[in-house]
Amino acid sequence: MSDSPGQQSRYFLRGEVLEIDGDFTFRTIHGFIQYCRKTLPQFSGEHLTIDIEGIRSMDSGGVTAINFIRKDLEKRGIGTTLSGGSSRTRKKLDVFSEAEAGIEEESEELVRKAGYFEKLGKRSAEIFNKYVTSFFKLMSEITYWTFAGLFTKRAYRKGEVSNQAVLMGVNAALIVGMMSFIIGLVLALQSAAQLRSFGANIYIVDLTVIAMMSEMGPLITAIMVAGRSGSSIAAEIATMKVTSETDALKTMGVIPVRFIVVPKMYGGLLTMPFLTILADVLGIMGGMLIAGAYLDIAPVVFLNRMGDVLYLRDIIFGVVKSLVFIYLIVISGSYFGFSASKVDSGVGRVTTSAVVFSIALVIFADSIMGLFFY
Amino acid sequence: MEGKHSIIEVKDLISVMNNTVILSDINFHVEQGEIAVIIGGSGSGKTTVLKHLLGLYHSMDQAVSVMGENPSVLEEHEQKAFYKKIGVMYQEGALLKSLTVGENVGLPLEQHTNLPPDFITEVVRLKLQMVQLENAIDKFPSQLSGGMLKRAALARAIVMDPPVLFCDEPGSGLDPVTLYALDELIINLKEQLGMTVVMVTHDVSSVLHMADRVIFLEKGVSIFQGTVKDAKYSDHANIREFFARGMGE
Repeated sequence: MSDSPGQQSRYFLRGEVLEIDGDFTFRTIHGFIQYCRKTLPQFSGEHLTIDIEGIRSMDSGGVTAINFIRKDLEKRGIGTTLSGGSSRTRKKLDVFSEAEAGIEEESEELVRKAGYFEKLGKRSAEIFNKYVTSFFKLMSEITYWTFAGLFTKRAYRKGEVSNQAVLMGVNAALIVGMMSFIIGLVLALQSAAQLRSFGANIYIVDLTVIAMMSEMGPLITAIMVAGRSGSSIAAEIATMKVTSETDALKTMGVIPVRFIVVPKMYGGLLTMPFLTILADVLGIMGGMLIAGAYLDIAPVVFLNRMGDVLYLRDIIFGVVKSLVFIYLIVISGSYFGFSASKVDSGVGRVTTSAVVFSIALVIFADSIMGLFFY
Repeated sequence: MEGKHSIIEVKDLISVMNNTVILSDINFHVEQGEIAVIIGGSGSGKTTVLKHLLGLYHSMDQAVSVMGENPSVLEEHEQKAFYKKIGVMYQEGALLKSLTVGENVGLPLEQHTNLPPDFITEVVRLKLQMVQLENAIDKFPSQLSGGMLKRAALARAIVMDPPVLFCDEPGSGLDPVTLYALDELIINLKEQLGMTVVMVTHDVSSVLHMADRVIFLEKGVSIFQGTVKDAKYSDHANIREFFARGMGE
C-alpha cells in the first residue's frame, strides 16, 4: 500500500495474481516497486497475471512500473499477462509502452555495438524517411498547387506574382548578363588560340553559339538565380516558420505553400526563360567580340555562320532547361525553408544548405537532360 | 449559469514526440463565454496543449474537441471551415512582415469571403479601431512597438468574429501597464463579441485579472482546473507557490 496526498494505490500478490488498485502514478509507484522487489523474488510460479482492473488513474510512471516488473520477471523465465483494465488504462499502456519500446530498441542496439553496414543502413533509412520522403511530399504539394492554382481562386495577394518576377528575374538581369558576357568572352578566348593553330577560325562561332545556347546560358543563369533567389526563398520561409507566421497562416485556413511558394514559382517560371535568353545573347556577344579581335571574324560573318549552326531545337532546349532549373530551385529553397525550426535557430543553416543543394540539383538535372537531348 | 455548455473538451490528451512524452494526462473543459487560462511553469507543456487544440499537432480522435471537432483529424476542406471559426493570437504576433497591418488584418476576409476590397477595408478599420490601432493601418509590422504588434495580432484574430479566441502568451515582452491594457482589451472584446477565450500564459497578474477558469499544468500533466480563488488556495503546494511568487508574496 502506498499513499500520497490525494492519491492512493494498493497492490497484493495473491497466488499467481498481482492485483493493483487505485491511483497508479508517479506519486504512488515507489511503494509498488519496493513491494515487488520484496515479494516477487519469492514467487515460484511459472506465470504471473497482473490484474489492472482496479486502476483508477495511471500516468507514464505507472506504465513504466508495470513494464519494469514484467521485464524483471521475464528475465527470470516467468511469463506475465495483463488482465482487465479500463479502456483509458489500456490506452495509456499502449501509448507509453510504444514510446518506451523506441527507447529500449535504441539502447539495446547501442549495447550490441552495431556493425558498420548496419549503421550505414540505419542511417540511410533515417535519411530516406526524414529527408527524401518529406522532400518529395513538398515537391508534390508545390507541383499540385502550381497547376491547381491556375484554375482556382487566387490564394495570394494581388500583384505578388509580378513582385516575385521583379525580385527573381528583373533584379537578377544585370548580374546574370554580366557573368554570361564574361563567360562567353573567356570561352571564346580560350578556344581562339587552339582553333587558329588548326586554321579552323570560323568554328569559334559553332563553339560559342552551341555552348552558350544549350549549356552555358541556362546553367550560368540557374546558378546565379540559385545563389540569389534560392537563398532568399529559404531565408524568407525559415524566418516565417521561426516566427510562427506559417502556423498563423494555417490557423487562418490558408495553405502556406499556396500563399508563399506558388507566387514565387509563377514569378520564376515567367522570368527564367527571358533571363536565360538574355544570358545566351550576351554570352554570344562576348564570343563575337573575341572572334573579331583575335580571329578577324567580322560580326556579319559571325552572325551569318550563327544562322547556319543554330537550330530552333537548341533554343527550345535551353528554355525548357531553364524552366526545369527554376522549378528545382524554388522547391529546394522552400524545402529548406520549411525544415527550419526554432530549436536550432536554423535560418542561416538552411539558407546555406538551400544554395548548395539547389546548385547541386541543377547540375545533376542538367547532366540528365543533356543525356536525353544530346 | 443557464445555457452554458462545454465548448472545448480535452480528455486524456497524450503527446509523444520522438519517443519523448510531452503531455501525459491532460484533462479539462472550457465552457462557452469563459476566459480559460492555461498556466504552468516553463516547459510544462502549455503551448503544446494549445497546438493540439489548434490541430497543429495530431491528437487521438476523442482526445480533443473544439466546438465538437478535433481539428487535427479533419480533412483539408473541413479544417479550412474549422479555422474560419477560431481566431489565434500568437506569442510574437506572427504578422506577415511583407504585408501592412491593414493587409494582415484583412487577410482572413480576403481568403475566405468574396467581399469587395473596399468593404474589407471598412471591416479592417473597424477592427483596428476596436484595438485602438486605426492609425497603423498602412504601417508595416516592423514599424510597430511590441504592444502595438500584439494589438494588431489581436485585431487579425478577431476579424471574422470567431466564437473562440486562442491567445499564446499575449503578455510576453510587455511592460505591466501595457500588459494590463491588453488584458482589459481582451476582456472587453470578449464581452463585445461574445467569445470564449483560451489563453496560455505564465503571467500571474493576467490570470488574476482575467481568468474565469484556471488550468494548471505541471510536467505535462493537468493537475488542477477550477476558479482563480480555488487555485490560490489549492491543496497542491506548487500551485500555491506559483501564485504566491507571481504576486510577489
